[in-house]
Amino acid sequence: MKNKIKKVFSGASSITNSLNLPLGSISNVPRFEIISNKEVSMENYKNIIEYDDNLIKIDAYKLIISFWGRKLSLKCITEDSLVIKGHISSIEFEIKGA
Amino acid sequence: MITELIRFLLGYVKFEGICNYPSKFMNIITKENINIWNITCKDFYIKACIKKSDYYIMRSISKATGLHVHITSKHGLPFLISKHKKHSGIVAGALLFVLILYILSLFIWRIDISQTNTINKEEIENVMSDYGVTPGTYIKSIDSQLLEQQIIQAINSISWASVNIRGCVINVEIKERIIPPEIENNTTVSNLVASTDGQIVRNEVYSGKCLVKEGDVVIKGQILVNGVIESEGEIGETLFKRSTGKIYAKTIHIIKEQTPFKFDEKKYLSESINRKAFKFFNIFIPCSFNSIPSENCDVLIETQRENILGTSIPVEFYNETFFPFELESKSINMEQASAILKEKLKSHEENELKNSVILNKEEKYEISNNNYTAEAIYICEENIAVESKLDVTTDEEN
Repeated sequence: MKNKIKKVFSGASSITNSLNLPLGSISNVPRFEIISNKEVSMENYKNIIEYDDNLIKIDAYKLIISFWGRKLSLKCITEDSLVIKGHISSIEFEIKGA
Repeated sequence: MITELIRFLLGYVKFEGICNYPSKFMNIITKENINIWNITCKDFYIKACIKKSDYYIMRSISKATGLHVHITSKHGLPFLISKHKKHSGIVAGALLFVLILYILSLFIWRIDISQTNTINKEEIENVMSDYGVTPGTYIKSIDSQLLEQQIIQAINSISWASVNIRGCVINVEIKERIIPPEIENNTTVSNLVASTDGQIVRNEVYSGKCLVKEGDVVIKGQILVNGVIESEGEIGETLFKRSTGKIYAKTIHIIKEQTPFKFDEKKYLSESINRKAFKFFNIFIPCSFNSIPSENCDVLIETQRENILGTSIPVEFYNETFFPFELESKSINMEQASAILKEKLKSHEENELKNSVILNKEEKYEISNNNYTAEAIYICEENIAVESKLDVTTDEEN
């Protein structure tokens, strides 16, 4: 899994490495801020694939990210960012088309 | 906090509905730049909050996704205003309250003066009042630094003052001046002179040249002890000294007093007139309209400053009580007049002759023009020497 994620971002990382830029400076790369297991702020997503109080599945361009837990809710949502609140038990990353 | 305040000011609604594709609904909403928050979704049952103005746009979109929504509750200022549209008085009252509160916050409510030992707080308040600072003064018109200087200049016993305006309260902190004890200057040249006429009984001269002896008669202002002493030697040296000592002499004091046999005495009428008023800042508002007796009345004024939860507010209640009286002619007999005069003479003795030993006292009583007159002649023994400074300039000083 780790190898696959590395492959996805290998193009971006090679650019950032050569220019000595942080990886987050490239657009369309999802960014997270996780506060304990209670709240996740996420930037750069495309759309929501699945939404329930146990699972929120998000299309983040080349990745599909699943947040598993209990009493999950969207604290707020805008076109490119969202905040998930609840008891998050696991976060799963999938590569599109893999 | 700020986000919640903005949401409250703009108004928002909570809605709910059943949706087969909540994710589809969410995606459309976000692409339309509609802001929704606190979204929960359980078993296709969706609940969320949305801005009031966005709700109707969202409703048309939701139909396309098969979501049928309905409002569960409305929140925020626009809804509160529309709810109380019929009760315009309440809204006007609330606005008026805010306006009054704002206006009142522009003025001084209270003057707090720190605890002092010798200086009366009223004295400081009076000085501040002279410079136009009282409860009710416009805060921005007060220059605290200037006021500090004015207080120090006006009251000599204040060495330091600090004026701080905190909200609607002026805090005045002061430090009292500690006056150093007067240092006795032995270089001062002085004479001892007689404070009154008399006959010398004895003298106790500590320094200076005594010019009087027992049995001499002296008049007021006469030099008793000289501070300028000329030596008797051939050189003719002159010494300048500070004269000290006590010169006791027999003195005569005459005190006259009189009291009329007939005089007017106040007789209070049973009815007293009460007037109430209150002072709000510097505005005096009467609460009762009883007329004041034009003359012949005593007034008792009671003031009470109001406070709420221990904080005094600029409201003072005045209670004026007028006690009207009639002047009634009263006459006294000779015994009563004599007793009054004796009392008056005793008071004089205690005040004026307290430093004297009374050797003899002779009292004469006589009636003149409806008055009873007493004349007391006191023969006393007392120290009549008082210091009189001399301005001496020596050649060395020149």
